[in-house]
Amino acid sequence: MGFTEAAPQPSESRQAARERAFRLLAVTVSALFLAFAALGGAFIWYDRAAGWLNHAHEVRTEIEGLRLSLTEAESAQRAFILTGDSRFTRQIEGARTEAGERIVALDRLTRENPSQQERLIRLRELMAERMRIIDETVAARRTGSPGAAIQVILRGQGVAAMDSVRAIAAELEQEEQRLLNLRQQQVTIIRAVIVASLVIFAALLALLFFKALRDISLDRETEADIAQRLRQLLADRTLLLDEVNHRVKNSLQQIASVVRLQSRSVEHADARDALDRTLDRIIAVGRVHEQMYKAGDAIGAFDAGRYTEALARDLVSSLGREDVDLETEIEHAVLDVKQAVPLALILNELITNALKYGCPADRPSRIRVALGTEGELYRLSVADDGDGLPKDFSPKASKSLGMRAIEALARQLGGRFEIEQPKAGASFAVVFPRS
Amino acid sequence: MVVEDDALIALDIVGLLEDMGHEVVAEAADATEAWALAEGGRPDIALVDIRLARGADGGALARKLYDQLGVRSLFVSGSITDDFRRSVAAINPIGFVGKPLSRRTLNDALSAA
Repeated sequence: MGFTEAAPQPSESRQAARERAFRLLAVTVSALFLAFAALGGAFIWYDRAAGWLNHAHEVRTEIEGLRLSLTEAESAQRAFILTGDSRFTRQIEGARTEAGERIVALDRLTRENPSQQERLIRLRELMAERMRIIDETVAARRTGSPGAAIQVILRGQGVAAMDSVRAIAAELEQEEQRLLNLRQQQVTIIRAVIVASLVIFAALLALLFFKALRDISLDRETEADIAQRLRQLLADRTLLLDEVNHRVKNSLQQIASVVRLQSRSVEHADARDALDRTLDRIIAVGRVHEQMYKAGDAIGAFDAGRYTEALARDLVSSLGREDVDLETEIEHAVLDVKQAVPLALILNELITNALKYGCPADRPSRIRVALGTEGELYRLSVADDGDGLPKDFSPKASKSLGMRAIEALARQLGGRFEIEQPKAGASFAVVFPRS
Repeated sequence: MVVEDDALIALDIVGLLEDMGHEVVAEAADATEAWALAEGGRPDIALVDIRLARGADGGALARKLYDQLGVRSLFVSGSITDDFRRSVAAINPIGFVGKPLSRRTLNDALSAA
C-alpha cells in the first residue's frame, strides 16, 4: 500500500519562498519610496526652473522699458528744442524717473549674476551721461535760441552715449537669452526625469500588483497541495482500516467455521452444546467488529444500546421458539471500544443462560433485557420468568464457564456481577462504570 | 454454488447449506474455477466471497454470473461497504452476509431468495 511519506521539504521551501517574497517586497517598497522622492524633487526643481524662465522674461521686459524711456526722453528733448514748451521738460523728467525705476528693477533681478551687475554699472553711467547731455541741451535752449541747443547735439556725445546704452542693453539681453536657453535645456531634462520617474513608479506599482496576484495563486496551489495530501492520507487510512477489519472478521470466520465443523462432527450432545456455545461467543465478538466498523467515522466509540438490542433479538429468535417473548428496555449508551467485547460476551452469556435455564420447554416464557444508567454507572440486566435459581446458587461455586466468565468480565469492566432472586425466575445484572 | 477461497470456511458453509436442505452443486476457490463450474453445474444461486483467492473480485464474478447465466448471488464478506452495495445493486443480489456468519444470518439471507 502506498502511504504518503511525511515530507518536510514543502514546508522548508515554503519558508524560503516566504523569505524571498519578503525581501522582494522590501526592495520594491524602497524603490517605490525612492521613485516617489525623486518625483517630488523633480517637481520642485521644475517649479524653480519655470521661475527662472519667467525671470529671464522680466529682465528682457525691463531692458526694453529702459530703452523706451531713454528714447522717450530723446524725443521730448527734440520737441522742447523745437517748441520750448515746458510740457516736454516734464516728459523728460517722467522718462528719467521711469528709467531709474527700470535700473533699480534690473539691479534687483540680476543681483545674483556678477557679469550682468557689472554691465548694469556701466549702463547706469552711460544712462546718466545721456541724461546729463539732454539736461545740457535743455538748459541751452532755455537760455537761448534753438541753435545753441542744436550746437550741443551736434557735438555728438549724446548720440554716442545712446549707442553705448543700446550696445550694453543688447549685451544684457544676449546674456539673458543665453541663460534662458540654458534653463530651457534644464527644463527639458527635468521633464524627462519626471516622465522617467512616473514610468518607474507605474512599473513598480504594476510589479507589486502582479506579485500580489502571483502570491495569491501560489497560496492557492499550496492549499490545494495540502488538501490533496490530506485526502490521500484519509484514503490510505480508510484502506488500512478496511483491510484490518476484513482480516479480523475473516479470522473470526475461520475460527467459527472450525468450531462449527467440529460441533457437527461430534456425537456427544454435551460436547456439541459446548462447541455451539463457543460458537455463539465467537459470533458475539464478530458482531462487535461488524457494528463498530459500520459506525463509520466514529472510531473509538461503541453503541452499546444498539448492540444489546440486536444481539438479544438474534439470540432469542435463533432459539426458534415462538412462545419466548423478548422485552427490552434499552437506553442509548455509547461506550469506549475497550468495553465493547467484555460487554458483548457478558450479554451473550446472560441471554444464552436465560434461554437455556429460564425458559422451560413446556410453557411460554418471557425474557427481559435492560440497559440503563444508575448514577455514574451503567447497569445491564437480563431476567427470565423461569423456575429460578437453586437456593444455594453461587457464581463462584458454579462449575459453569458462563458464570465464571461473567464474573471475570465484570471485573475487567471495573464493575460487579449481581444476582437477584426475584419471586419468579432469575435476574442477573452487571453494574459497571461509564469508562 | 459456494465460491470461497478459505477451505475450512467453504466446508463450514457447505455444511450449513446442506443442514438447511440445500444442494451444493459446486465449490470453487477462485473466479476462474467458479465460472467453469457454474457453466457446467448451473446453480440456482451463488454464495460469493467478495475477496477471492489470487486477487479475484467476487463482485465481477457475480456480475458475470448474473449477466450471462442469470445466477443471482449472495455476498459473503468480512467487509461489505456501502460503495460495494451500490456497485452491485444492478445485478439484483440476494443479499449480503457479514463474517463471521451464523446459521441464523445465513438462513435469513437465503430466505429472501
